[in-house]
Amino acid sequence: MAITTTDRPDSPAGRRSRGGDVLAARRRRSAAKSLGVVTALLAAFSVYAIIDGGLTLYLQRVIDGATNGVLYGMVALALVLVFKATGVINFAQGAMAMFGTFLAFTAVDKWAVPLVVAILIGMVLSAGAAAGIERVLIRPFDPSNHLPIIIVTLALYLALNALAALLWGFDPRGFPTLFPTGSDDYLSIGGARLYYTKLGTALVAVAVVVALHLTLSRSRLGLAFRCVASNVESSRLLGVHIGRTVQSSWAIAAAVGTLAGCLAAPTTYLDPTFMDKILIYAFAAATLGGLDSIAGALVGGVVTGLAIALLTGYIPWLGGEFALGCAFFVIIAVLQFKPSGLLGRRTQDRV
Amino acid sequence: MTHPLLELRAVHAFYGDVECLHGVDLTVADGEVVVVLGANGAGKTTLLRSICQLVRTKGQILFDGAPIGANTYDIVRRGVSMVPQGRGTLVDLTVEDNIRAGGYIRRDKDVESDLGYWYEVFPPLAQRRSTLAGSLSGGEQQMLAIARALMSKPKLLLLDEPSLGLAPIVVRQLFDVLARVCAERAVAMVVVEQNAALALGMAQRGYVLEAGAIAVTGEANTLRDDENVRRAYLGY
Repeated sequence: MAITTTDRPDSPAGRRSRGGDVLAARRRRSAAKSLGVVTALLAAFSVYAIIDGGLTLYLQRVIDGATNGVLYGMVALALVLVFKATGVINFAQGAMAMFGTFLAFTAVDKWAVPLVVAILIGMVLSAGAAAGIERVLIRPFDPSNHLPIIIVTLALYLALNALAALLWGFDPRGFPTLFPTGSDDYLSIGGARLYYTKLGTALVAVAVVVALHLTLSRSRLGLAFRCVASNVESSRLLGVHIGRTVQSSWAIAAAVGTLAGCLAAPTTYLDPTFMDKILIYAFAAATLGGLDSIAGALVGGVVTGLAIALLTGYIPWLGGEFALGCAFFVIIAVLQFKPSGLLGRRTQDRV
Repeated sequence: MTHPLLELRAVHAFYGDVECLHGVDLTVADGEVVVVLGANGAGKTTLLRSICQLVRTKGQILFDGAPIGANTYDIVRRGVSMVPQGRGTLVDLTVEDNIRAGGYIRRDKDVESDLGYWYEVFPPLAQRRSTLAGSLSGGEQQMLAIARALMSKPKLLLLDEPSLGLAPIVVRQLFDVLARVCAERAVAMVVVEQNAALALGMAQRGYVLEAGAIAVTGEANTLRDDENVRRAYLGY
C-alpha cells in the first residue's frame, strides 16, 4: 500500500512539466536571459571598442580582462565555498590568501624548495590555519546569527594584515611564476599576445573550479555543505557535525585562496595588501555569479574582468584607476536588478 | 536485565535561564508507540528537543541503557531520528537530496535501494525527485520529512506534530503509512500531536504534559476513556 493522494498518473514523467519543475525551468530561463543580457552588453560595447581602437587592441584587452577575471573568479570561489556552508561572507578571505602566499614565498625564498611544492605547502598550511581559526574564532558564535561572525572576519582581516606587515614588512617582493616568462613566451591571437603565464593561470583556475564543482555535487561533504547552508537545525538532526562541516569549508576556501594568491602575485608583486583589490573584484564576481554557485563564481569573475578591462580601456575619462569603481558598479547593479546573480538560486519557500 | 529503549529520569530543560520542563519521567520500550499530549506551551516540543539535546537539559536521559550523550550528531548515529515541527525541509535542496541527506550517517551500500523503497511508499515524491523541496505541498513535505527521518534506520523516531497544517484525509493516510512502516521495521515512536484521537488510536501508551510536567500517564485506551483527557484533548 502506498500513498496516492489522487489518481494522478504514476509515471515519473506524469508531472514533469508542472509544479516545482516550473520553478526549476524558470530559474534556467532566468539564468539564460541574464547571461544573454550580459553577453549582449559586452558585445555591443565590443563593436564600439573594435571601431574605436582596432581589432588587435581589442583582443589584447579581452585577453587581459578574461585572464585577470579568472583569478577574481578563483577568489570568488573561495568566498562562495564559505558562503554556501555558512551564509556568511568572509572578509578575511583575501588576507588569508595573502598570508598563504607569503608562506609559499618563504618556502621558496628561505628553504629553497621548488615552487610547486612551495605553493602546495602554502595551501596546506593556510588550510590548517583556517581550520584552527574557524575552531577558535568562529565556532563559539551561533551559526544562525551572521552579523557577529562577519564582524569577526573583518577583525581577522585587520589582524592578518598587521601580522603580515610585522613579519614580512611592506616592501613589495617579486614572486616567481610556475610558467615560462620570457619576452616571447606567448601565443599570438590576431596580433594580440596571450602570455603562457596568463594562459597557465587560467587553465589551473578552470581545472580547480571544475574539480571542486564535481566533488561538491557528488560527495558526502558537498551534501553536508548544502544541508548546513539550507537549514542548520535540520542538518543537526540528520547527524551532520555543523562545526566540522563549516571548518572544512574554511579550510578548502583558504587553500583555493592561497593558490589564487600565488598565481596573482607574479604580476601584482607581493605585499600585505596585494590581495585587497583582488578581493573587491572577487566580491563583484561572487555577487554577479550568484554567491552560492561555484560555476557562477568563475563566470562572474570573467565577466567582471572583461567589464573592467573594456570600460577602463575604452572610456578615457574613466582612466585606469577606475577599476575599483567598475567593481562597485557591478555589485550595485547586480544587487539592484538581479539579487540572485547570474547562476544563483533564488530561495523559494512555501509556507 | 532488560531496559527500556529510552528512559528520561527527572529531566529539566532550559531555554536560556528559563526552565521549561520540570522533572519529566518517561519511558519508551523497543518498538513501542508513545503519544505526548498537552496544551500549547506545555513543553511537548521541548521534550522532544531535550531528547536530541537541542536544548540544555539537566537530569538523566538513557538510550539503550546508556546515557544519551550531549551531541546531537552522536545521538542521531545511535539511532534517534526526529521530524521537527514545521518538518525541517531543506527547501533549496532537491527532493532526492533531501532523502539522501536523511541517510547522511549511513555508509552502507543499501542507500540507493532504500531511496527506491521510499519512492515506492510515497509515489508523489518519486514524480518530483529533482524538484526543489521548498516547492512541495505541505503533505508532500511531510512525506519527505518522514522518508528522510527513516532513511537513517533509527530505532526511535520522534515526531513533532506531523498533522500540523494538513488536510484530514492526508493526515489519515500519512498515519497509516507511518504505523505500517514503523511496525515493519520495529521502530519505536514518540509522537507529539494535537490530533489526540488519531494519535491515541495508533499509540500503545500516552503522556499528558501540563506546564512542563507530566500530569497523567497510562495506556492509550485508559487515556481515551479518562474523563479529563477526553474533555481537554478529545473534545467530547
